[in-house]
Amino acid sequence: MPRSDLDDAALLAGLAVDDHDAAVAFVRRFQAKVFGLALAVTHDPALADDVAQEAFVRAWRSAAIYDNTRGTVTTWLLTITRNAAIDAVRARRATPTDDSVLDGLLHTTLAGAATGDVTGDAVTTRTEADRLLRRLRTMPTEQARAVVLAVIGGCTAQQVSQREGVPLGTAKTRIRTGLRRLRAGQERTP
Amino acid sequence: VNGRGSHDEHLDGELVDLALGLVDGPDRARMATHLLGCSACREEYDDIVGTLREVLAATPEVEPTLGFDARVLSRVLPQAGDPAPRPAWRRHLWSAAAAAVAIPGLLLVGRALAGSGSEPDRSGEIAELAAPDGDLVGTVSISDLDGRATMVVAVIDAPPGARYLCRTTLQDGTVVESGPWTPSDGRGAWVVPLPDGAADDVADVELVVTATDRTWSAAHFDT
Repeated sequence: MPRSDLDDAALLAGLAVDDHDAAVAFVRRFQAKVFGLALAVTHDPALADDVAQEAFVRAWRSAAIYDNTRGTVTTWLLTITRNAAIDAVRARRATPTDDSVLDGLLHTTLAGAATGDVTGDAVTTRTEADRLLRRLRTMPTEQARAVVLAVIGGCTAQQVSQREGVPLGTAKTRIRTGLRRLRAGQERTP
Repeated sequence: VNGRGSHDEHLDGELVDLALGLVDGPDRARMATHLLGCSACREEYDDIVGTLREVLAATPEVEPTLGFDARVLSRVLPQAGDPAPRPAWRRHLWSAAAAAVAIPGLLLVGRALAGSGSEPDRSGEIAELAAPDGDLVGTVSISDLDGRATMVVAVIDAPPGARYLCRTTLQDGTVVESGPWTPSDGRGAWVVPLPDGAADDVADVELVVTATDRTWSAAHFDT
């Protein structure tokens, strides 16, 4: 069976034992997601490239101990990416200022712009991303924006507050309430 | 908001900031300590982390520049003629005792001994133990047990059945290995003896899976 036909966990297992073909397939399968998240947090294509590479290196180091009870391979890898991106931004001691990246992020996630496989094929089963996007889009917009900015954009509550033009307390409340709503929706999803 | 990590006061709103990675340094270690002993907060934290991970799945895709995959693969796959991937560290293997003591109890032992005359200066310092994805999986505290400098490594959510070495890097680059240790049911506490005089020099602590020699989680002490 070609490596590209293997499921995510099988590819990760291949990466763990330095299987060349599995590693190639793994990187190609996830590189657009990983780079997309790195770019969303750093707003800098060159830094995002470094961060995305670092995320794959960290994943390779940890592949042998991936625990599928704590999330899918996709969310595990993206969590590693998010942390690597936040580390990189902190190391630079500079706050990303290119708002166009966050504008694009909000438009893509909340307005339903085309995003590769995120919106999904109409005939395929709904993916976890599809389900999440549907829940985000039915939430009060200000809460959904706050959640996307904080989680995918890597913004602090202070940055959400400045960007949205609301007091810090309001920004925090929007993030927390938004996450709570998503969790409630999660529990209702079969 | 709980300011001291008491199990009677829950972290509440702080948990979202913690899960988002917005809490640093001593506050993060304090909250990690609280989570080890408070099942209600731990459950709440795990729920929040689960939701955050779901949100990440909605990340829009952006293709990186041409050749990205080759750049990654050159870093993760052994190349022909490469030297051994790990540095030739100076190592000392120390015997270590796995302690079947309740985690909060051990942490309190470490703290209760702070203030006695023979303890290392850093006794009572606590650092969070984080998995590669940043999730809090335990704490490492520098302690003085029966007059001997030790670290107490407390873990939760360890992959079941795995055996670990504790790899401690001192400020001068010396690496000290202890173990192996297998936490029962993925959680437990481990008393790791330190060489004489090393307690003040601990910089980084890694829990390494013996079967793969790869790091499962790591803690960093500010020096």
